[in-house]
Amino acid sequence: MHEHYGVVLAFGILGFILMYVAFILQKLIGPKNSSELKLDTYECGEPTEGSSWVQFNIRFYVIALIFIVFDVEVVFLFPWAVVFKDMGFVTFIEVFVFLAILVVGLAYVWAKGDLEWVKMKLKYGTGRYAATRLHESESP
Amino acid sequence: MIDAIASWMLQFGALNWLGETGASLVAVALVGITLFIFVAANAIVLVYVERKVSAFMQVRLGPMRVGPMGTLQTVADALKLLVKEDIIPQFADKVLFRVGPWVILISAFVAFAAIPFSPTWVPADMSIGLFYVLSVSSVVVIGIVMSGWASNNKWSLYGAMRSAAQIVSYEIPVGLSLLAAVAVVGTLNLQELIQAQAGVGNLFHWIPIPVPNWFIFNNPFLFIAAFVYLIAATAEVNRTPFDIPEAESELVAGFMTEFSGIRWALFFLSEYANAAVVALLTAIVFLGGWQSPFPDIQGARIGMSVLAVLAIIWTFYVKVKANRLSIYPLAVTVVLAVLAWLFPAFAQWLANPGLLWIAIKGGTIIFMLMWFRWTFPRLRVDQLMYVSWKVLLPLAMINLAGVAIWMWLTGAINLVG
Repeated sequence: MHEHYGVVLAFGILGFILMYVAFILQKLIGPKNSSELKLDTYECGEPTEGSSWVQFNIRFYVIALIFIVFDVEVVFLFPWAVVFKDMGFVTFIEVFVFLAILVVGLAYVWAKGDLEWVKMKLKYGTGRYAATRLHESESP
Repeated sequence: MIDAIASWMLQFGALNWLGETGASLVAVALVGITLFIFVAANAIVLVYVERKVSAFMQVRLGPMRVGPMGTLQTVADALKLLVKEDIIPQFADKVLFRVGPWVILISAFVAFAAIPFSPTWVPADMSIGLFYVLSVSSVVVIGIVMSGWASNNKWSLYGAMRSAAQIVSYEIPVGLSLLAAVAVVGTLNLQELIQAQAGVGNLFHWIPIPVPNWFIFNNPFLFIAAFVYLIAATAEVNRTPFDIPEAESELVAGFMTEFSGIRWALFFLSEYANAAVVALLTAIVFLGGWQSPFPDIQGARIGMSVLAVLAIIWTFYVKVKANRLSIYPLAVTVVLAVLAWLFPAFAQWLANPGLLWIAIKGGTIIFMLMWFRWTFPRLRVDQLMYVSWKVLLPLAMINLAGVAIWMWLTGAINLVG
């Protein structure tokens, strides 16, 4: 049973060793004339502007949070899927209750607009360019 | 498979000094090296095939200069990568920059350990094979974020963040759609999953069209789940139309902008290794893996004849004169059908399960991935999130519930127990 995971470990080590051979080859035959310009960060030929470790949009974190919830759900569902055929009625009902809770969660997130990448409905307007549109409608 | 090779080696008197453990270790090493060569050759061949397929789809020739019909083009490219300078940017996080590509490559490579290539050829026949392949191939995202972050480059960071958001979003439809198939058979072992798909039956069990007992034809929900899986998996391996993480027109090369030479080759290898894993997993879970679509000799003959007739109809339908390449399906199927009727041994060979069939199925899926590339326009970031969270996820959940209800209605599960 456990030797299967030994195989996986062996594969990982083997993959590393075999690919490292290519690295050694590259070290032997590849050119080594580095310069300051080569080591510079690529920004389409322009001099680099500031650090690249910038602040990030909160949307990515929201997606990550929702992902964790649903991924844990999938992990819980795997054992269910395996025993489902033999366990009968109890698991059948149980999983529907479980799924229902998550569907409610999804519906809530959906209704709150957290699944929207581009937030078109903000609290203080009706669209992304709400202010501009308001301005346009007033001006003529 | 490991044990079989080990005991086969111990048959030779000259190798007896290895002992049980030594023979197993050597066997593991042999299988691992073979698989690694397969992964490397897979990347080289697939790049060539992809360039040719792309070219033919756009009515051009593709690589023609290096070797006959350009067959050595990617070999030359690989050699070129080897003699390129290895550049690590000055401001990069040196450790993560070095580790990132390795994480991606190793996780893509070890996923092959649980893939069954034939009834006996499976390096590690683990009881949670499907779960293992899923979890290992999702480690890729860590490597992508590592290398994107470590590059200290805005393009890389944007590419990595987009890629992370995309891969994690599409992982849930992938998991849920595979679960639907698992629920039908009740095992995570990939071999048992394939063994459950043997033989021929009716479409969805009640429409009287004889089809192989593959899970894609098992019930209507699994039919949808197969497509949900294929779409989500295309996004998971960052292929077009879901390739915004490396959208050349926006982000230079996404998370691999700063990588060059052999270090970049790691991404290259793992990209195609991942595509192969996805294709093989689709073939295994939904298309019967190494099972032959034909049950026996007679089945193979009739099946090939039906395919030939379909090819003839298709040939007339698309008016093949326009493009001589379209004649090949017709020619191949007709020749195979005639051969199957003439030689019983050939028909038997077609009806046998084995490496041939999983290769054909996996190859077809990979061809479809290439086909997608030239058919669908690239999705925008918000569309990408829309497809994942508002289309595929609800669809996958409905599928899972639908499969459960379908099994209850058709009496596949006993609700009283």
